[in-house]
Amino acid sequence: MSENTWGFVATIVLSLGTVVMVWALVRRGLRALIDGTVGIAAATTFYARVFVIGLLFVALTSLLGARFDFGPDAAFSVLSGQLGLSCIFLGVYLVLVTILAAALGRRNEQ
Amino acid sequence: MSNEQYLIASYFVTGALALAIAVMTYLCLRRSFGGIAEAVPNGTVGGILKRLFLPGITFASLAGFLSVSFRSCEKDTYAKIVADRAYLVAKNHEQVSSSLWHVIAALFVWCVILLVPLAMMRKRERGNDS
Repeated sequence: MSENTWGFVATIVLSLGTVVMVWALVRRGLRALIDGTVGIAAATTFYARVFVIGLLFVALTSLLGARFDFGPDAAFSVLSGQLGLSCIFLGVYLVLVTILAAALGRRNEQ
Repeated sequence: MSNEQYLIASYFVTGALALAIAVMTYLCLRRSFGGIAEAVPNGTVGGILKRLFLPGITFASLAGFLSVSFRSCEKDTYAKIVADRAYLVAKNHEQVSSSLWHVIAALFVWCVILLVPLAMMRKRERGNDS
């Protein structure tokens, strides 16, 4: 395989690896927070899946913007773009979860 | 395949891809969304939400796909657009990318919409408790 192909494969692996890593880091906490706020299993699944789908789509969007013929200076430009966009996505999602928690409050456990 | 044929074929393929993205997203979220809709105290609202979910995502995806224009500052005529295959491929990527962004935005909107019935439900729960 040529260097370009290796570069492209590495970019795909790193992009998807980032998604998996972020999901692994926040999965339990996020599910616990939504479950503690909403108290409906379906809502926990829905909001958690929206998070994963959003992160995955951000990664795919960045990959689609990649040029196959990498220059010597552009080795990780795709990953840089993806991480930036992922930060924006995480920020918006954080705002959403904050609104969710503020609007519903903590549910009664009785 | 000539560039003109490629333009026509790729437009339909990309459109189908945008539709597939929407349908796959819908299938992934359908059950959990239905679960929330069924938990809403007012059954009519839940039913309406369930029926609107698929068009809500599909229209967003197609809107993203259709929003991309092939014309640009450098390529302002049909002949210039068709002459460059790399430009056509880049535009196809842009269409899929735009479609994905629109689906993300639609999902955020749906998350906010679902807050209303969830808040109503919580209010009712608290009313019953007190």
